[in-house]
Parts: sequence; C-alpha cells; structure tokens
Amino acid sequence: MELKPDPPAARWSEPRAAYDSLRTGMSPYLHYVHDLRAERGEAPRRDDHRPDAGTDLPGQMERAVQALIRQSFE
Amino acid sequence: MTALAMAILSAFQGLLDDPAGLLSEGSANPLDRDWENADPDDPAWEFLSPQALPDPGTGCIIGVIDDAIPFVHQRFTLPGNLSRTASVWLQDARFRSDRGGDLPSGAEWRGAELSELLARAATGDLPGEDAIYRLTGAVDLAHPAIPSGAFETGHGAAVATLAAGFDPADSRARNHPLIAVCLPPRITADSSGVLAPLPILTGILFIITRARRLCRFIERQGGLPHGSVRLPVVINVSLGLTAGPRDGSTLIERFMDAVSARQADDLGPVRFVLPSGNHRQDRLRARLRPGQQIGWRLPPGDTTFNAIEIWGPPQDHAPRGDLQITLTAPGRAPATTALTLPWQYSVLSDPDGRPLARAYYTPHRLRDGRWRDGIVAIALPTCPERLREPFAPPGEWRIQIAEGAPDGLYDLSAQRDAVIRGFRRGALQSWFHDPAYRNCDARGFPILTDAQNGGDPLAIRTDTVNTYATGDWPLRGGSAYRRNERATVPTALLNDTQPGDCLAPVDQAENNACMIVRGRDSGSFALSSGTSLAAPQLARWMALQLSQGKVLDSRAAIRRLAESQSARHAPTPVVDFPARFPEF
Repeated sequence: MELKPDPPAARWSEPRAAYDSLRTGMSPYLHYVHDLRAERGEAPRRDDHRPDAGTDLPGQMERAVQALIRQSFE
Repeated sequence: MTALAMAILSAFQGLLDDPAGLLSEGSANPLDRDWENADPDDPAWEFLSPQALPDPGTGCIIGVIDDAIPFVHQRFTLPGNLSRTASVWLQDARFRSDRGGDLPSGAEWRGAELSELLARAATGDLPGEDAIYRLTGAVDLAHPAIPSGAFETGHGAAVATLAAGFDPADSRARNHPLIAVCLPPRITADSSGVLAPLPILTGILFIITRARRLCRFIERQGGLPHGSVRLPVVINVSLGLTAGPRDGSTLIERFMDAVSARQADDLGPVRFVLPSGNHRQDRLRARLRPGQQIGWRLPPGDTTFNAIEIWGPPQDHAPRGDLQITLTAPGRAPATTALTLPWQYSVLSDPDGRPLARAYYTPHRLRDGRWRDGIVAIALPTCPERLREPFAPPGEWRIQIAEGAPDGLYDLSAQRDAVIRGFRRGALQSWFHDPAYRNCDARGFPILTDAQNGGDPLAIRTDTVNTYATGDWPLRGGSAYRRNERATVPTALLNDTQPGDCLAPVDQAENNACMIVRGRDSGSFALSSGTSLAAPQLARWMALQLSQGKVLDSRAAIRRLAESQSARHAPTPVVDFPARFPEF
C-alpha cells in the first residue's frame, strides 16, 4: 500500500505592521496594491515597520472619523 | 463651511499621495493645499443661469457619484440650452489651475459655463456633446486610463439619467439641479472595487460643499436673506462591495449616517440611496463558529487577487489578537496566523519562499464603543499578470476560524471580483463552497432564501447586502421584476432577509432581464439591469417627495411613505415606476 506523502508545509511570516501612522483611506487592499506596484517599479517602496507600529491606529481612525464629521458641520 | 472645504483637501492626503495609482498624470492638485474657500467672483463660475434656478422653497438637489456621468445630456438641460447640472467634478480630469482650488484633483465645471458650451454646440460653434466632453476633460484620450467618458452606454449614464434626468419641458425639471461626481476610471476598472471608498467620500464632501454654496448663490440671486434657502439633497451612490463588517462602522457608512442625522443650519436634509447589491446567489457570504471551516474556491486563470474578510463577534475589550485563521492552500498543509496587534500582516509562503497569500489584522471599533476583530485574507492571482510574478494555486482553499477564538458567529464574505463592461478583463469571482448549500430545488427553480435551502448551510444568502449600505440611514434599493413586482433573484438580502428597504422595477421577468436606460449621447439608449438601476429610481422618487414637502426624517419614515404609495407594499414596498422611459 502506497502512503500518500504529507503535503508540503506553508508558513506565515513573522507579523509586521502594515502602517505606522494613519492615512485616510488606508486599507489592506491599498497596502497590497501599493506593494504590488512597488514590485513593478511603479511606486516607491515602503519602509518596514515594527510589529507594534500600528497598535494605536484603531484609536487614531476613530478620532479621525469624529474630526471629519465635526468639520463637516462647522 | 470653511472647515468642510479644507477637509476635502487636508483629510484626504491619501488621495493626493495616490498609492494605488488611481489618478492620471496631470490630474492631481499641484497647489497642494493652496485651497480657496469662496467661489471666485466670475459670472462663468455661477452654478446655474438665472432661468435655471430652482424654486427656493420646493427645489431638491440630486447628487450622483458614478463613473462617466454625461453631464451635458439633453435630459440635464432646460429649454434654451440651459444646463441643469449645477456642478460636476471630474476627479481624474486634467487639473484646472484656475478653478476648484479646494479639490485634491481633477476639474470642476459649473452650470453657467456648461450652458455656454451647450449654446455653442447648438449653434454649431462646437461639434456636439462629444466636443464638450473632450473640451472639459471628461474624455481625454491622452490619459492612460480607460476613457470611460467615451463609452456609449456607460454605468454612469444609465444611473444619472434615472436619478435626475427629465424631459427639458417637464415642469419638475428646474427644481432638481444636479451635482455630479465622476470617479476616476481606474476605480471602475478595478474588479474588486476596494479602492473606491476614499474617492466616494471626497465626492460626498464635494456634493455637500457645493450644495451649500448653491443655496447661498440662490439667495444672492433672489435677494433673499443669508441662510434662508435650505434645499434638501438626495445623493445616489450606485456602487458597492461584497465584503466588509456589515455593522455600519466603516468610515463611509459612519460619515453618511452623520450627515443624514445631523441637520446643518444652512442646508436642508441630506439623504442617501444605495443599491442592495446583486450577489445573493453568488455564495460570497458564510458564517462559521470557532473550529469550523469552509471551502474557498479560486478559479484558475484569474489575473486579479481574491480576498475574503472575516469579522468576529462584538467584544467589550480592546483588540488583543483573539482571532486567528487557518488557511489551507490546495496541496499544502494548513497554516495558522499569529497576528497579535492591530494592523499587523503576515505573508503565507510556500516552503520555497514563494508568496501565496497575505492576512491583515484589522480590528475596528463599533459605534457603541465595543470592538470587533477582523482579518482580511488576500490570495495572490491564480494567473500572474506579468512574467515572473508570484501566483497562488487555483482550486479549493480551506479557511477555518482557529480553535481558541472566542465563541460566537464569525462573518465571512468574499470580495467581489467583477468585470465591468468596457474595462479590463481577466477577473474571475471566487466563492465559498459548502456541500450543504443548494442552488436549485428538485424542479430546477433557484432557491432564494436560507430557509428554503434547509439544513444548516455555512454559506448563506441572508445579509449579503452591499457593505456600503449597513448604516442606519441610507435607503437600500432592491430591484423587482416588472411582471410580478417580486424581488429579482440576484438582489441581495438584508440581515432581516428583506431584499432592501424598497424595491423598484428593473427587469421584465426572470427570463427577460433588463430595462431601457439612457446612453451617453442624447437620444441614445441601452438595456441594462441590476440594483444599480433601482437605487437611482428611488433617489428620484425621494427627491420628488421632498420637493412636495414630505418629511423623510428616518429610513423607517421613507419606507412608510413608500408603503402608502405602493400597490404592493408587503413584504417590501415597490415604488412603482418613478419614471418611465422616455421620461428620464
């Protein structure tokens, strides 16, 4: 009886932060597209960020939303 | 208004930086924040000709955000070649250095100058509408982006005329000035649509800013007191995504809700209409519990990325990496993420180091202050677009909510990957594969609800609604068959299984899809279908109701009004023919 070999392993890289500061409209998709364009030489390459560089981004995003709404009614 | 004008520029540095390459060369504002708040004192910069001004008491502005809106179409004019388009922002046109300094990119054209161009076209000084589109930059064949402004039957032409097109002789026309935003063609060319939220958001800001200025303009023209003209605004956005948290907490949803709920003291109420979406039957939605898994099928030969979003149950504590996913690529062993901090990402690679996919940890805060964990998984194209670029294997991938994640339901949705006619080809839709999901019943009829499906499928039809449209305020428009006024089969479902808040007839019947819509050039027409065409019909209906003084102070109020006017008001009211061709 022939045993089926184990499938080759795939592995996730060590996590890195996608962003270190808030950019309006930032998203995983935008990050991916930017990297793809950088690989193709169509956009500047981004610096790598520390794994904890994006820790405060959800809070910054919340404050930005509130500021945008406030600005719209001043 | 000063702050709002500044917001268009300053809050959207991301659009100016343009990391996704959406804008064509020459369209970005080179002045970089040298913005202006007031309109220049120039008659050519007036919003509308005096004979085209709406009634200050019964007018209602219609805003449309779309691709390639034909802003000088005859249906946006009044007798005498007067433009009813008060303002149009061509986001990707060559930047007008003498105009629109508060815009991050593109060109703005106002009604008075459009009227002048229309008059020149009428006398033969300009060779027709197409010459106006080329002169204004709406069609620029020197730009590398696909010139969708030249499409004879584009999406924006059908949508905008349904929302705001009138016979020039129609007495109602003058009361509905149009403020239009044409998105960069690369937004529509992107088969996933995921790059659209920021340009849409700037478009909403633009419409609100110009609507306020238009009100002040009407006051000055009529010698009316400052702040006395407060026209309502209905904004149609026939765009959407299929993946997202669907909890009303995205930036664009929160902004639409805030604008709708808060009453500015110098503008009437602002209301939004969006399509429900057309993906109920496409198996783009699933719900899993920790430890459960589902197949995610990636078609071969797909030159675009495929993505899914996973959103966890609400939690009271700040994000701490509770959610992990196990992704199994075809022929590979399962691999579980180890994302611990917000906005971290990891790359899934083969043993030889070739990348296959990415995962981003994107927790976000809910409107009630709680949190939801989120992960966005992006698989590389299954066919490289360029030689030597990495690619992912096609076939059945497996996605599992890792054991140990907090108990509860996890919402999964696959991002759309749809080719819009006229734009790039090569995009193919991924989907969830669940043996318990049945497409058709024993008679061959499509199964339309999870209840009809029976069993306990992981892939679901409920809550497939457009992910821009899960806030508290926007009206979600579903499409109905004209023959029986029932929701069309593809119309997506809300969380309560309704196919939208209201329906509008679009398709003839299940075997006879499409309705007559306007093409770009005056007099032309095309056939089209989908909830993109239901939304503008409802926007038009709402604008007419607001002009008549109806109070639409909540989504429920809008629905009640629709029910009161509908011959078929349950389970979802059908607003019957807000406009019949060739009225629009």
